[in-house]
Amino acid sequence: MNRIKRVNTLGGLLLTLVLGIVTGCSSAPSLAQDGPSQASINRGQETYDLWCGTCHAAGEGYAGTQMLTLTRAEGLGVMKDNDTLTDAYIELVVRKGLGMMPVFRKTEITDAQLNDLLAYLGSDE
Amino acid sequence: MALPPGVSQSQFDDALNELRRIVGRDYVFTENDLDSYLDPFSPTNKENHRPSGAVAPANVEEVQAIMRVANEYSVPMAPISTGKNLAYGGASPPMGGTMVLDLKRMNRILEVNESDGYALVEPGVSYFDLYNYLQENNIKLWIDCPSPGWGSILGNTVDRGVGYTPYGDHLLMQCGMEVVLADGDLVRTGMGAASNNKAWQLFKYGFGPYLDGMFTQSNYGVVTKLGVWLMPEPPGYSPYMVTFEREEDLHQVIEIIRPLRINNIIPNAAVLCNDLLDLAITKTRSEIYTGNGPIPDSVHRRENAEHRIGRWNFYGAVYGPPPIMDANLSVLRDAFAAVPGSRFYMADERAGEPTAQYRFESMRGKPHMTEFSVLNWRGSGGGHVDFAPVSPVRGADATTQYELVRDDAHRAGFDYMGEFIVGWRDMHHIYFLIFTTTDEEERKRATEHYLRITELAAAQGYTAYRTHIAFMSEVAKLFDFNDHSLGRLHKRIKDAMDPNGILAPGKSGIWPDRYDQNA
Repeated sequence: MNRIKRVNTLGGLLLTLVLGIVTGCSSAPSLAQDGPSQASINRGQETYDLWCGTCHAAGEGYAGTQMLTLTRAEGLGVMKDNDTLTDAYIELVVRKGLGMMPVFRKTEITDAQLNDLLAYLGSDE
Repeated sequence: MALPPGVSQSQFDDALNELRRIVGRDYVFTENDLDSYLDPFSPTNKENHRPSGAVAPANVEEVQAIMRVANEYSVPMAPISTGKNLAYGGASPPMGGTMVLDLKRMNRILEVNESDGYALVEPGVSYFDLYNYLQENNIKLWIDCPSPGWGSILGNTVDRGVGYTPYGDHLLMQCGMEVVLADGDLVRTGMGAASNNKAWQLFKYGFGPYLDGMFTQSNYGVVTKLGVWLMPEPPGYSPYMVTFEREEDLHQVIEIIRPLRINNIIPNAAVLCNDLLDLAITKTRSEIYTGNGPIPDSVHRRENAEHRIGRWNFYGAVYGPPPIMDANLSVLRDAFAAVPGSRFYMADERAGEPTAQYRFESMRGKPHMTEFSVLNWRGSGGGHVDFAPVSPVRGADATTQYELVRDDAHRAGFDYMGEFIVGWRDMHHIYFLIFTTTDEEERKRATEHYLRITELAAAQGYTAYRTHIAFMSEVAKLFDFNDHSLGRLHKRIKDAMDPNGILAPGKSGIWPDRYDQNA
């Protein structure tokens, strides 16, 4: 399920378009080139499995899913299935915490791992 | 930016530059990054424990260099392992303005010895990490993990945490450690002090004074390696659950448990918990009762009947070859049957129930995060601090503690949610004080309630074995034998081992002269 992409990705697309015009490049930029790589998505899944899935998987007994089910609209309790969450929001919650969800420091989830995690959450995997 | 107390800005800036030279710029954290070191569940103002910075070394040599810099610039430094000691302070230092020495990057599993049954780990190795390693490598050893399981094996052990298998007394199962002292010197304890030894993780005590305990719940050194014994996977494992209908059954149940535990018919750190703690895994308070005040008995009875639980629920397990398990189960069934209305369930009779399942998994060393759900009890913004007194395994002691905590909780507007974890000779009574972190009035009420029950329980002989960083000095003062002689001894050791007072000031109420809040 494709998530709303971060602003810097949009900026990258605009830059590519501008450069294409300046250099006289005849081929249109490919949106696919701006998407995350499969390797990034795979790494993101590893980060998700280690840090997120234990609270956010579907089913009973998952604390994060329980709280999101109580506080969000119907059908949005399972984080992986909730495509209303922006990358910026997820990043904020990971770094600042929210309610009973504690923060994750950069020594736990590095900035690079967080980018991979966002790639995975935004993918259809 | 919060500065370390007594340290000037220029002194601190110089120290930070030195630290950047040691670990690299990416691993010295200041300013906004420090929000991630605040305690999300602080019952007091979490800003009271805001660090001045954080530094994350990759190896022991960097830790040693950091301690030398800390001494040179008089910058206090408080180590954390994975920083998941939530309910006791998390990643925050005991004294605000201390730098955090974040050891999470030191996350190697250095050795797993299957035939001798041990592992040697660094601070950043979590229970999940070691469990996954054992599974991936088909090693037939079990870990013993607390609930939840994302914390550090080393960190939990040096805070004297407990788990739920026969190896549930974590410090008892610890064997050998490596420590960086406040001046940067490096020590290995036990047989590890002999450089060519072969028994560092096999024989706990070594030669001469046995010092490992000194580095637990203390600020005498930075533990950088820890040996832990792992239980061989038994030929059989059979968990069970026993429910008890009435609140007053507590006395009789504990009296039944004591001889069974001492004689190893109950071989593990088994748990007796109250119904609300079990219900909170899948329910919130408002889903079962929307009124104010204590939950009525009628609601307890209704929910207990619906979920097939008791007012008290005991989770235990038997291990070993099937004939031995069967014999022990027979003894257990007969023993617990003496409690009118009790019901004995084997695991297959509780299949598919998240609460029973995570308990059964805990008793075989499978880490989980399921218990985190209890934080949703009062709605969003839930946090908790744990009150943890220890006592004899006696019905009268359990009842006295339970009633004391329950009554004060009800007066303060909270629910009693707790468990008794039965050890080799003691009970750890863990009361989960769940409160709303975003409600300042409720946090204040929670703090007052916590301090009140700490004093009231201690007055009756039930003193805490562990506490939150906000309350360490208060709890330390309760150890008052011979005019607080233990506290004086702690201080003498502190002065000798850390004369500049730079290592975790205030941990367990131990203060160096320069920051002494007891002076």
